[in-house]
Amino acid sequence: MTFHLPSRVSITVEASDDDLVERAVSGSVTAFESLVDRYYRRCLRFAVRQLGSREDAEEAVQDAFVRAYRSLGNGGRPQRFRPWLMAIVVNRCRTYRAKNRTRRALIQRLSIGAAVRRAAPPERIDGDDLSPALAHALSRLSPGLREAFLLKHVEELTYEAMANATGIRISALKMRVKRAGERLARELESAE
Amino acid sequence: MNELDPRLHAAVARLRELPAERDTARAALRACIAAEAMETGRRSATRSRGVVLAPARAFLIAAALVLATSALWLSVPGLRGLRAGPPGPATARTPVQPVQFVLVARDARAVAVVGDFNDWNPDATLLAPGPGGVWSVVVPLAPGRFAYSYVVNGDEWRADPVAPRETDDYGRPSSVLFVSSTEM
Repeated sequence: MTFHLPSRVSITVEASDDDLVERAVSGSVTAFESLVDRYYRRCLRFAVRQLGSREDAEEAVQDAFVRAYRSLGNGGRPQRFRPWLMAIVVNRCRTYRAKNRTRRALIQRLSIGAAVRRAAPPERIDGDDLSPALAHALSRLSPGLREAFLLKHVEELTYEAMANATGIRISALKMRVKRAGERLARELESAE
Repeated sequence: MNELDPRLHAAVARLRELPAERDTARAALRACIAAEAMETGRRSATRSRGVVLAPARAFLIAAALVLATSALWLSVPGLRGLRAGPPGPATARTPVQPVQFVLVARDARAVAVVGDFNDWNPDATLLAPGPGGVWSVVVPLAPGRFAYSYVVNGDEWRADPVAPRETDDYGRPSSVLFVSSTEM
């Protein structure tokens, strides 16, 4: 029996997260960049929806990846890369939001002029890629409810991973997801 | 658990769409990673060239450096603002550096420092008053770049007079701090 093999055989096996993490820990920038390629847009999706600003989201995600790279360089080996990375992104988003909120509050207290107040708009959700109604409905959720809803139904994390990322108990997270869903549905219905 | 309300299926499908990435943002991220990789390489190279000391001798040298550094701070009354504090306990896995924030504010009733490291929370890090209107606090920080500012009497935002400044998102000046990963 004769087998005729093709002259070229091309097999592409995508490296697993664990493989890439292991190589990144060993100092491979290329491996880490592969992880960035794999997860950048997912992280950006969460950050844009949560922060409501493309610029803040890009900055928070950049910061998160740099911190992740630094942590791997220091020998950190997450059990599962994506939930670990999302936890960093969640915390960077909280920091960026808190920073902006505190600065807005300080500026309002200082009453430092109309020009600066104009530069500090109220929180809103960037509707670049969302319908205005959906962007508005999302902006009506409190940051805690929005965060829980996005992590559960958009990023599709388990409640265990969400609890690790947010530091909030699973029972409380379930309640937040439920309330966020109800509120979002009401807002969308009232917008129709 | 927490099944998605059918009324939200369309909205969630829209929310799950991945946003387009911008070339400028990815380029900035690549540059940051490259810079971090270079810094990591420098740290590794520095460590590999390090002098090996017997523990007792290393302790004596470290103690002498701490005393010399503390004396320097105490002997220069004009120095204000930010300085690296004395080295903390050796913790190879958590390379934080104690950083001392100092502000001379004789008119102040309360001083806080706000920055990237405490979510810009004016209640998080209060400075303690000292003689001559010198307020200070020591904060452990990981290596990196931090923007920060002082909040005096709860509502007056002051940039550090002796640190590099940057203009924040809303046009107010704040200061910039670089914490190195220098190891003793």
